Amino acid sequence: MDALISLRIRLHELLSTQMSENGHISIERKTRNEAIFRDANEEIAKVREQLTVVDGRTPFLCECEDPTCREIVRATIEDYEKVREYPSRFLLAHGHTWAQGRVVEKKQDYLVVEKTGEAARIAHETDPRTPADV
Amino acid sequence: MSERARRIAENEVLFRTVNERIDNLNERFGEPAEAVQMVCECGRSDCVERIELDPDTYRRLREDPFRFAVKPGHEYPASETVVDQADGYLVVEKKPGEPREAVEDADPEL
Repeated sequence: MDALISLRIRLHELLSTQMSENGHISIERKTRNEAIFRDANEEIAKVREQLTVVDGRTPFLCECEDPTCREIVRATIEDYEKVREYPSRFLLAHGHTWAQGRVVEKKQDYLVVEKTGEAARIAHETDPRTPADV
Repeated sequence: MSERARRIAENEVLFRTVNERIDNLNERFGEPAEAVQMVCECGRSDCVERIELDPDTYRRLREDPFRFAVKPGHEYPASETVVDQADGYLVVEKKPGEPREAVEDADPEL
């Protein structure tokens, strides 16, 4: 039964992949990919915050638009938290691409990109730290 | 418990968390047929090595919370036993006592 449910979820995700008229993946789909990477990093940050003696930079996943990306970027937990203060900001490995936005900070290991326009709206909507409207 | 044992365990748990997220992403975005790049799960905080495991092998590894996949040479013989070796990585198992207790302390899931 679990396998059937997983298959249905996957099928739904595939069908909901939105393509523009010229066949490119839409800004919405790209931004939702980036938000999925952000969710993964939030889980890593949660574990990291519970650790007491580990130091140095934490390995996070690149939050670019490419769903096949598994690049690691390293950031201190303090720098990571600074990025997360802004729902429209994402950490990306150098040379990786993003949907709609501009670079607001360059670090040795990564870029911080701030979303604009439609991408910013979706980034806010999917931000796990932003309380949902009631 | 020594700070060294705790530090090693915390790093290993953190790297394992990253690999768990990578495995979830692989499931979500489409299961790769071949080996996938994971991070070395050793106890060194500055380790940036990657290792390749196929998804089934990775999930079998995760059935034992005291096992980690590390790059050859990244094992700690004082606290870990090499229980398996494959192309490009070793599987180490934490020894009973302090090494296992340190993993239990570090991992919120245990």
